[in-house]
Amino acid sequence: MYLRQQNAVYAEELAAFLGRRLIGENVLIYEPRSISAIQNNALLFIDNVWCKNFNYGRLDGFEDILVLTNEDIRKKAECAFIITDQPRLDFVNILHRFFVKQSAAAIHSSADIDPLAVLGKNIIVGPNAYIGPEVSIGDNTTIEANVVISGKVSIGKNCVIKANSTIGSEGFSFIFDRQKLQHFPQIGGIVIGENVWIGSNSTVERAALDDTIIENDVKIDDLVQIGHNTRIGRSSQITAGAIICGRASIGERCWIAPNACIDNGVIVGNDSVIGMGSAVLKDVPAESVSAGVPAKFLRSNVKS
Amino acid sequence: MAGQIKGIFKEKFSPFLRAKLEEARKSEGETSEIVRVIEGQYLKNPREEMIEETTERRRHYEADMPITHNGRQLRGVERLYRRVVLVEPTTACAAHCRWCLRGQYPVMSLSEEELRWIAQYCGGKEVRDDIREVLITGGDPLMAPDRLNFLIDALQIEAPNVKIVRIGSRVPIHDPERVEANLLHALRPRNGLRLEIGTHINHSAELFEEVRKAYRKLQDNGLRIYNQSVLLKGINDTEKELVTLFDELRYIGIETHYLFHCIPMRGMAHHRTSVKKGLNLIRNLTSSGDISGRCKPMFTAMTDLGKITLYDGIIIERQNDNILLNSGYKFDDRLKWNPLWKMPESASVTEDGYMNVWYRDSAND
Repeated sequence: MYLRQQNAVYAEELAAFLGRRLIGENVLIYEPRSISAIQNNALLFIDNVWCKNFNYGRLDGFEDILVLTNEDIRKKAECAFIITDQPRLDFVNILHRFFVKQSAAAIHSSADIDPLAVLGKNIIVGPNAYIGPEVSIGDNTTIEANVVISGKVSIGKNCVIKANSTIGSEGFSFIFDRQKLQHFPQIGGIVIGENVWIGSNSTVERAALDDTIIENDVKIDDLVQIGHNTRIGRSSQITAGAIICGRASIGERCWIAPNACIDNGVIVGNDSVIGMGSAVLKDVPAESVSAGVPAKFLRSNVKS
Repeated sequence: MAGQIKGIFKEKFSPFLRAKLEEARKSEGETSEIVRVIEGQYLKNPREEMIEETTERRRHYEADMPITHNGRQLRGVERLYRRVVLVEPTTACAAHCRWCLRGQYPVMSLSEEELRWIAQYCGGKEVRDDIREVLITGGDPLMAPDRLNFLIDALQIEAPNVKIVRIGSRVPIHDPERVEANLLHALRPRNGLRLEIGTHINHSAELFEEVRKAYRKLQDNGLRIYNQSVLLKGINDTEKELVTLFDELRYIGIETHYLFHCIPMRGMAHHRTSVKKGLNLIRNLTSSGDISGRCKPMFTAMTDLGKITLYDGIIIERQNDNILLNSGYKFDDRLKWNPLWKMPESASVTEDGYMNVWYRDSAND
């Protein structure tokens, strides 16, 4: 099921997308329309195989339209056009790219997707997944079975969230009020970039007030815990069993080996490696290898 | 703020404005206020083709400064002030205001890749200590909600130093139906980022019920809306019309910001009043007791150096139709955030380092 997507695109952009030449004005296009309901700012297609005797007089008076056609129509009409050997297919490709969004109906029937969630195109959602109202998911992202995504969560394009993971659960944060533990409500969100991989049974907590941020190209293994308000820099890899506590910040291109634990608020510099089972209690400089309990600096990791 | 195709800035009404105009012609007559306000703003006037002064400019200010990042020259991005970067994702608009600042520019739109480069520039180490604000304008960014959403997402990821995103739009006035779920999603509240809409309403007659509803939807979505008007000859250049406008805006919770003097650009002479007329209107407006101090606009000229609000003592000299304005901009500061900036010929540096600039007035009251 597809839904109409509002847009305003110049004819030259459409020609460039198709890799074809625009003839006529660089008109602005709002929507695709059929040849029986022509309006200005519309994209039309006229295929002379399907529609042999089209009366081009019907285009008169519409200056701002673009026609995909398989012949030169300069003598028949005054509007802008693009010549193609496949007007219908080009029209469909433009629709997919610029003017439609896929609705939730193409998704597994048992998935529970709030109608207010915004999904890009070509998204796969597995059985029993839950996607809440404040969630947006980019094109080509896969959400596997039983994944729960709740709270304010934005997930970019081309991501994979593997089965049983929980994205956007309440962060773990309590404060003593005399003898009683009082929960610090976690009302922030999560921003996940593009090409991010999150393994099975992993959890990403939403931030207390701001955002938990996972940058582009981050890969997270199975059974990983990402605490509230953390920031994981681009292209870093967090392997199985790792625990990233609240407010920690992992730099770019880091490698966090299995079962390592990064303490609250610790900053790990870019291009660093943290060894297996380490307990990282202090900040780690960039381009370094650290390991142990507590983790100690072992050597530099400068790549020649 | 749309642009030109093959050197022509086309006449363009949105279907909504066209319908309102037709309806008003029938029900209220050709000389009614609504007809005058809509036609005055969107109907192409033959006087646009006349070059009335050889000094008329084709750009509204001299921001023609190349900005590069990672060795790439960026399109659709300008930086005139230290803390703000201006981005134009598309030049597309639902209707063409005839005094458009960018009516002289060619049309263009930016790809997602280009928008990402701009976001990366905003968060880059050379500028991230200075840049706090991004103004998304165009064109009308609300015409392409997906592109806008992409840009704001990219800024959140690539430039956490940006705290405020302002979006300039007339979509609620031009085509209120476009304010729907997908657009509101692009403008959803985001953590750590304040979103504001800078809109452009010139006359209370434009505030049709549909328009008010569209603004309300944006406000209900958590957006703060402020208004910048342009003083347009024959459209809103009377005290009564301005009082009604600023009152009405206040009733619907839209803040008054600037009242611009219509700039000396080619094709706009017939829209311009003198600066003096504007100053008199503002004086009467603010001293009459007819509007609250909460909705007094700042009367401002867009000069070659940028905006200069016309407070007392700003005009320091007059030569025929040219006035010399004392700006608050320092020459050295300008070079600090853009070393490629060239001081326009109309400007000069004073002893204390501030710049003065000549501005073209109009005698056309």
